Amino acid sequence: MEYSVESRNVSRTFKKGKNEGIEGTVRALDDVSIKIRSGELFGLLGPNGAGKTTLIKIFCTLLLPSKGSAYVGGHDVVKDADSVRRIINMISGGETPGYGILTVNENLWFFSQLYGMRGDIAKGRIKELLEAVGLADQGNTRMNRLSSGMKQRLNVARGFMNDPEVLFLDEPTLGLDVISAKQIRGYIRKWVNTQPQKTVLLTTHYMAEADELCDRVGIIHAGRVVACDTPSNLKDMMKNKTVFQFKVAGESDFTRLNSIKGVVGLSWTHHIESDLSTLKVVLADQAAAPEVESALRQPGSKILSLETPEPTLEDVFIHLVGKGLE
Amino acid sequence: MAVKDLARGFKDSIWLGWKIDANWTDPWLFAIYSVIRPIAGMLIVIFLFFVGSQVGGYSDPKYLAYVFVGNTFFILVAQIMLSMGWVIHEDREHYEVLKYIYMSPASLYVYLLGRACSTALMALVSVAISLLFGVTLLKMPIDLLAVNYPALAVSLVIGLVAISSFGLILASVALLTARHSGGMVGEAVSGIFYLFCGIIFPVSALPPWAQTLSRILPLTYWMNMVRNSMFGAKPTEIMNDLGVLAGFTAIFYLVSLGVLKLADYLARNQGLIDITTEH
Amino acid sequence: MERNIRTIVARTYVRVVGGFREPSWLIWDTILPMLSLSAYIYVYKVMNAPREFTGFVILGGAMIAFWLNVLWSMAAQLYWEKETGNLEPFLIAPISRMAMLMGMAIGGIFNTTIRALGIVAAGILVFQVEFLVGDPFAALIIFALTMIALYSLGMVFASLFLMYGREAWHTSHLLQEPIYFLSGFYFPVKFLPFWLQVAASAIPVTFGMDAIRRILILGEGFQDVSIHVIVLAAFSVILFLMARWALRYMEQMGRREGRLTLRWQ
Repeated sequence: MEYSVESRNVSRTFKKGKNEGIEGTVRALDDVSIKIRSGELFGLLGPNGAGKTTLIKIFCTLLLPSKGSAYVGGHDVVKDADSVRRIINMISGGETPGYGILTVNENLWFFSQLYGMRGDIAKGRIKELLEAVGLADQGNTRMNRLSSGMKQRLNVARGFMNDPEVLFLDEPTLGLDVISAKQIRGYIRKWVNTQPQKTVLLTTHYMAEADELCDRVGIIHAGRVVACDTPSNLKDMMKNKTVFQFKVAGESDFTRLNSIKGVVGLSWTHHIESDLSTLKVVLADQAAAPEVESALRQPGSKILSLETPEPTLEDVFIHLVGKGLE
Repeated sequence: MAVKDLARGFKDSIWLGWKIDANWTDPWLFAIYSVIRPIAGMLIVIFLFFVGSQVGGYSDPKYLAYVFVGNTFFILVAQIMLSMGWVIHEDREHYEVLKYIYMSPASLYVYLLGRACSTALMALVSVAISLLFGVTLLKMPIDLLAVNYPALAVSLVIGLVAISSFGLILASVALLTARHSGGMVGEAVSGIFYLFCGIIFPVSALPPWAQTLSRILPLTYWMNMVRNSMFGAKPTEIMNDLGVLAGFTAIFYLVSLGVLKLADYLARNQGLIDITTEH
Repeated sequence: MERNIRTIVARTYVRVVGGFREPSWLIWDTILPMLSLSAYIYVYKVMNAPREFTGFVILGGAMIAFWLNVLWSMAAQLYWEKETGNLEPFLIAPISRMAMLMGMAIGGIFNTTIRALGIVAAGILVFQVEFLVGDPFAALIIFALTMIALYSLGMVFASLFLMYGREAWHTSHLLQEPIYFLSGFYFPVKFLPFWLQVAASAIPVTFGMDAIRRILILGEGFQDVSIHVIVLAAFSVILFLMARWALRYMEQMGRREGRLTLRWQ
């Protein structure tokens, strides 16, 4: 079967120069092989610096792999970049490409021309996209007068302009407010559902986003894909594991719990004002639970609550990597 | 703001200007770049002289020295104006830091002055290189041992204040305008001084109305002072120019403060501090 | 082909509309550059140079406008697009890089032509330059060939920005004055020492400048500049092919080293 997006043992290293303070190489991707079928919405989940953007750049023909090969729509991204470019687009969250001095309509028209779109078709498409991203009334506003959130929504509209066969979304909801992010996610899902031949590769470090949107999720850490399956199958990996969620007062560092036998991984967030921490501990063996509890009961700290929630993708990540995404 | 804080801000912006202007390449390449640019500019006017002397029959070595000195020290004007015409656009649209400088307690005025000073220090090196190159290799008729260095130093200090004042006016205008044609703005504006301030020809060659303009530009007196110092003039011979230069410099310095304040107000009123205008 | 033509038109639109929306370039790019030029004219006047030398400087100034358009509105523009985050969408689009650069150049030509015409008009009105047009058709051919060669050269420079950042930017700055000097923008190249003339002959605009001067100021005809035409035609072809190769090569290098869209280099 020909896959829509495929990488075969892709590695990518970057050289650091003398005047960058670190000499040597940085391995951003290490032997990554993923296969995405046509019509799939595939998520790549991992923390900052995991290699998500590097992989997307390779697929988008902006970067060559140091080793291995990559294909989009059956075309080699190295040897046949022009063919790849005809069928893709990319939306990078947090980026707002465009010309500040032009209006929203003019910016989108400009990008439509890079894909050879006829004027009348472009006009209709621009109208449709602006409605979809909630900018219908901003068409004649200059881009340098838009708020940051609006610029990002404009960027999303730009990404869908050429109705690509394969769309790469690099943290597309980064920096968007809750409602806008939900709107964008809804549009992405609808786009894939109503056009079965379209493929999306979405990178994110928001597990909820990956869980909500993706048909399959690849978990990437330090340049390696450590797991790749549907969200429910990934969560099934936790069948034999137990996840405990503690609310602890008076403590902010739980690293010492890693030394307890049976603790597979842990992650926590600490709220400074309330001095409360939410701690997740993934246990290979429930028998380790009393020892964990006992380790938490120390002078100055207090366990306020204990739950055993349903496993999430973050728990899967903690299990595989040993620590949380944040 | 405490003087200590202002001084630190000034020092830091000099450092920043140096870093931005110099850390883009290896030191040896930067050195070559710093040498080639001023020398190429010098060669244009020197050859202009030689061509003029061949076709016009006028070949006074004093005029060659006049042209050489004028063009060499004009490097200071050109570089500072180029830098100040660019710094706002660069910080606003390229590095996107202008709004953060604005938001901080640091003085924008001190920041811009520091950037101008950074450029001035690098330009002084270019001037020195050009002088040495011209005198030693191109045999320009200048006796470096006869130069009145104290007078030259005084004229450079006051002159740099004057040039920086114009640079600040230019930066203020840049706050309100779009980014067109890269750094051409600074080069274009320095053309005013190149034409009207007796840089490569005496102002007496200009029409009367232009000579009037020359008389109110401090750089005209600055150029006279520099030239006279280079030709070994006595202090009494440059006092007149010094007085006028100091007076006009003070006026333009105050004007630059006013223009910056006005531009600052207009830019904030119109929301231009973090605007993008690239096209 | 259609896509590339649309790209050229679109990018031209951006440049032209941007210029109309914020017209301060009329001062920076057209009026003020006349001043530096005038300074050189006054040097010739002080030295009693013949009248035609004023014309040489005027034509040189007009040609400089196009050279600067190549350097700053086209070549270095890629650098600016990269720094403002616009380069990625361009590079992943199925367009010719030359089409994108052409759009930038054509968009800049509007401003440039106004500047060039302004300089010529000032030359005629203020300095009473006399143009003895020998052969207008020859002048057009020379101008067209010079522009093709010049803009192709500009595309070669632009390719550097796919790989480098400020190094290429400063290289563009570095090229300004030496090109003014060697190409005879302000005086005929024949006044340079022989070895410098040889160096100057590697720059296409040297031939263009010399030929245009001969035709428009000295009233010479096509036969007198036939060698210039041949050389410029050869330059145009060679530089065009070089530009195509350079853009592909540098893009590939940028992709390999991860510097294609690396900002703040």
